[in-house]
Amino acid sequence: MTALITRATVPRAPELGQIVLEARGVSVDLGGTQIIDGIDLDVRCGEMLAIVGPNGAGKSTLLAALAGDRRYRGSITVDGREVSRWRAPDLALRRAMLRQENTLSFPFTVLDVVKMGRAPWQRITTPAENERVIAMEMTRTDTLRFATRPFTSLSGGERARVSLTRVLVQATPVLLLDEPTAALDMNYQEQVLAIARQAARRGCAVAVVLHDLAAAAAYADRLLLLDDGRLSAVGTPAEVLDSTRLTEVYRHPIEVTPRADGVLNVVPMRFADDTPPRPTSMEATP
Amino acid sequence: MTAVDEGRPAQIERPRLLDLPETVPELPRAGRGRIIALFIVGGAGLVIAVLTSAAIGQMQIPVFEVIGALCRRAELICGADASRINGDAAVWEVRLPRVVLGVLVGASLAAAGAVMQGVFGNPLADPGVIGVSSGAALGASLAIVLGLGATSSFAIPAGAFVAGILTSFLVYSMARSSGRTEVVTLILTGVAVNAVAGAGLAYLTFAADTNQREQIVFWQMGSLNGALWEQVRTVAPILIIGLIAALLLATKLDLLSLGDDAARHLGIDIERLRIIAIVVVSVLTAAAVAFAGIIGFVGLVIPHLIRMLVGPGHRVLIPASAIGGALMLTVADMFARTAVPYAELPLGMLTALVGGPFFFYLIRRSRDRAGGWAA
Repeated sequence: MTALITRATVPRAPELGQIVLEARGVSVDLGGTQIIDGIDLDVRCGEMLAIVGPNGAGKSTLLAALAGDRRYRGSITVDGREVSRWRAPDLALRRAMLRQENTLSFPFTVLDVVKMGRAPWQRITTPAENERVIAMEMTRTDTLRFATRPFTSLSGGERARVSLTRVLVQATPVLLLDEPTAALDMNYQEQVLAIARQAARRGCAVAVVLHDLAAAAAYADRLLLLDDGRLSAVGTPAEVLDSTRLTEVYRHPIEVTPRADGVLNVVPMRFADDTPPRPTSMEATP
Repeated sequence: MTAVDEGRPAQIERPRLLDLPETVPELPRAGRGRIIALFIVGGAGLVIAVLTSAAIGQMQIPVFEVIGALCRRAELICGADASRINGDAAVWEVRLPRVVLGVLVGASLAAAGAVMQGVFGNPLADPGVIGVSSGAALGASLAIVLGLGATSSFAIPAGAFVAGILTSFLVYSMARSSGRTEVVTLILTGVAVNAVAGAGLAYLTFAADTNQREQIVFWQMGSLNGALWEQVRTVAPILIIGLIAALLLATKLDLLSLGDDAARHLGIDIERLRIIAIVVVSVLTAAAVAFAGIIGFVGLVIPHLIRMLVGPGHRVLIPASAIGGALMLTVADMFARTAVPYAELPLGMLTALVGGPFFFYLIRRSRDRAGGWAA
């Protein structure tokens, strides 16, 4: 029982540009299969790194390893110390993680759910400070309006923003987001990514798994492209998003065209309609 | 990203995130009114139920005389004098041990149920899931069949307590692999172990003689009959320590409702929390059933009812469930003693008879309201 209530040590706020999350030669095996093979990456305070790649390339597994959820070979350091060696309460002050699915067993209110994100700070900061952080972040994500509603009654977009708020109030130097925009409409997708980038600018190292390459190009500072568990490319969006490379990694023709304003358009080649509709079936349906 | 802004045509305004206000916005205050009202009503109800239960029975004793008997015990002057010979003795030696045991057992079963549901993140979990009750029944029956019950009045409860705890540890250790336990594995292991315990119980019932068989059957129906202070003194410290431990887990149980991974990301050592919670639940349940036999549905219905009244936060849910469970069992036992003249209804039968339909009503109600439990 005593170990459950040991006081955690508060991390020092990192300076902009300082490396807070570092991975060297990280490999992950799941069920005898190598999912991730020798990945190196750095995420600096102030930047947002997007991890992209096809389905099954190992993006979520890599992120889970970075969060300390998976056994890995190689080394992953958060705030200068191996992830697997941090005690859970100390790690919770240093990295926050937003998972793809955010379920809740019991109908807690939105405010209760966001407050859970402050749990690591409970014995460290004052209740007033906790409330200030919660109120500010809920304003930022525009979730304060429905603070008293049960989380279980919210729409998918609202749940995603509440879960993001819960992760933001954890106020950690490392922020890991696993497909935060999955199942969100365009408006929410843009908002969530803008909030994540803003968190990076305020002094956070953000690593985010994304499917939408154009959105990744627009919001992330650097991209890390995974291909079947291996590193395909890492660098600025313009460096990584190359038609030839994407076509090879995704096994599908993809066109990348820079627009006049610098935004990258990433468009897959659409399949041809090679089975012409049969006229009889068209007429048969009224 | 500011560099990109400069090159853009001026006529299209890019969307911006909300500006943060200068002053900190006010967070909505959680309504404490309902919670306070629940504790006041529940606490007062419990006191009334305890006094009434001590007052009625074959010898009717006015409530004021019950209060008087308690005061005389505490060497205070209040309440009414005993109007009958042995009135005080009946209250103190016969009725009160039974009422106090009922309060403790009810509080423990309901609190254990609340912890169990929190640990499993499932409102349908009850302590039976990890095999405590079936293990305890097996242990009690074994003590009965071996004839230990005749040697000491503590043999059967001890057998129930030890076997209940051992069974839950067996379930937990069998469900655990490479340092982790998955909830589904734990529940399925519990199903398997419960089945084996049921088979063992059936065999013991078969092997017992008529008298022992009757004892086994009645033990499983649950009763507070014949409770003595000696028993209360034995079990009270265990139950009170268990209740305090359950309260200490409350905040962490809240975080578990986010799921194991999210709770771990918030600094919870999931495995340690789960082990401690299972120890607390099995000790509370095993100690509660040891002297009272199997009393079902208290651990399932009460936490659920409380959650509907004041929400799912465990810091309120666990103590409120304890009060609710104590109230439910006190009233049920009062009914069991007095409903049929010169006979006692089985307590476990009563709680199941009331609890089952009520639970069904709760299921329907929460489905109508929120389209299911957790959706």
